[in-house]
Amino acid sequence: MYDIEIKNLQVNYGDVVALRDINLKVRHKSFLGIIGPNGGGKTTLFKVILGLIKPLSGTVKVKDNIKIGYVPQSTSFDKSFPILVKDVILMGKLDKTFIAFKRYSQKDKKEAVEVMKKLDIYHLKDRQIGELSGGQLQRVLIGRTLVNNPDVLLLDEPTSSLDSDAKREIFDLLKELNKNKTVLVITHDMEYVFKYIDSLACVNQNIHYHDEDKSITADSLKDVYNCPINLLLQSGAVQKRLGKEGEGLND
Amino acid sequence: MIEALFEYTFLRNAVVSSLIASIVCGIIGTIIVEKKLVSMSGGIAHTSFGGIGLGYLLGFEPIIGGLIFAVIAALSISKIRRETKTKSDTLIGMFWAVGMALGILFISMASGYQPDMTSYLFGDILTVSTTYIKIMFVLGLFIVFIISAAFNYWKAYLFDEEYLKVMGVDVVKLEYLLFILISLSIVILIKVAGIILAIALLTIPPAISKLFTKDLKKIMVLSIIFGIILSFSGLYISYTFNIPSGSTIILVAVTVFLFTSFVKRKIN
Ligand SMILES: Nc1ncnc2c1ncn2[C@@H]1O[C@H](COP(=O)(O)OP(=O)(O)O)[C@@H](O)[C@H]1O
Ligand SMILES: [Mg+2]
Repeated sequence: MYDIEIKNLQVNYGDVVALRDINLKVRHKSFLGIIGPNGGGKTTLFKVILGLIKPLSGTVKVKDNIKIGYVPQSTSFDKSFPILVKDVILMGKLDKTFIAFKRYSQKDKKEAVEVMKKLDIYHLKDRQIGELSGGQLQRVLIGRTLVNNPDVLLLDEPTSSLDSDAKREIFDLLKELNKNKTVLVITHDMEYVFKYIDSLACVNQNIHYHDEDKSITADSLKDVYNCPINLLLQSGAVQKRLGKEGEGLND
Repeated sequence: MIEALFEYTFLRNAVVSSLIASIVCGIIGTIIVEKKLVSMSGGIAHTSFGGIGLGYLLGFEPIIGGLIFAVIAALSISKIRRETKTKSDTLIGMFWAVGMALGILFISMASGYQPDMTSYLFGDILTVSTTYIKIMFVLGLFIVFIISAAFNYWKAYLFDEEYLKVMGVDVVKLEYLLFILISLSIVILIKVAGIILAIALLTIPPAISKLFTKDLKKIMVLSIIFGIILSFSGLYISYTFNIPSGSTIILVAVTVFLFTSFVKRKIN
């Protein structure tokens, strides 16, 4: 049984096709990297999985009793909004069913503190979110979803516009979380993708997908290679990772 | 003015209504500014003029007509936008103009005397009736209750609506509810600042407060305090010099805003 199973999915925005013929199976505790050009439909794929967008056709099956955590692209909200770090984290604790005048419980607050300490952002708890570095902001967004202890994490470009140290820290953190969670991460950072992930998908309206335990071989990359981001794939990191095998890609 | 306050009901009503208006403006104004609903609110305010005109034409309390038109405008804009993907700016513009047009048409059709509309357009805090105070009080209480009962949800909704939706919260309901609250606030403000000036009373106190704090709740509380100070001083000036209250309050508020931001910049 897979954590997420997508079959023959098509998603449109009006007449615009955002995704078509999407088939994807996400294994439990896998670390899936999702790459693809801007406008390729990566964010749309997440939104369908989250139930924010209804597909035109096809099915998205999420395993029963599984909690999905979402870390949206940091461009999806206003960073100047007057909210403090601790309040963003606690937001994850809001109940689906609303009860008038219900405040956060002591337990909620304690868990929020624990998560902030774990993510090393506790000292920032009273900062307004616009006063954080990119890496700190990402950790706040990850913290907001971690307070719910999700089984699957969806992260939308958590490392874009971070410097390389911060990128590595975020990926290290994801690897750590991956010990007991399934992780899906959209990214453009190819060097890191190949060091951390165990499966890879390229989304460009349709999907080129590879999933095999552990290693990514030149063969599997060939699939992905059909994706029109091949220039990115030719980066040094990929070549190094694949060694001589990588040469086979050029046919 | 203080002795006059005890002597004249109209002055007492003016003070009480500016107090209620300040509380409502502090809360809803902050929300409007943070959710970027300023032009939407302007649209709702102007649409309500149609209802005021209808009230005159058919002989019922114009404010009730304004209230109904405002709520209908708010809910329609929200619904049409969601279903047809029309840009809300365009919709808001249409409601804005049609509301005004209807108001003028209805009033011209009303037989008998032509009422003076300036008190609805620009407010006249010195003519607030005791009935209107009662309406204001009930609406104000409702707004304060709804916002404080679900404050954490509102904060989350204003900050990151999509995330709230992912968490399974019914965001559409929140949006409808918020738009209704905005309509109610505008009705509360019509007599105080008028349809045309209401938007300034909603946006200036939060603009000043934002110079001092970066926490949503504190912005609201500070806005209420600034609102009370500004409207009382405006009221005092307007009474003393016998000039229109709505304009005076707003000019005082803008002056304070410009002065405060200037001082703030000098200090930093
Ligand atoms: N709300 C929307 N309305 C209409 N078109 C959209 C919307 N969101 C995304 N699109 C379009 O769908 C396509 C995929 O977008 P997206 O999923 O955001 O891509 P990515 O995340 O890979 O950059 C793009 O062509 C984009 O313009
Ligand atoms: Mg995207």
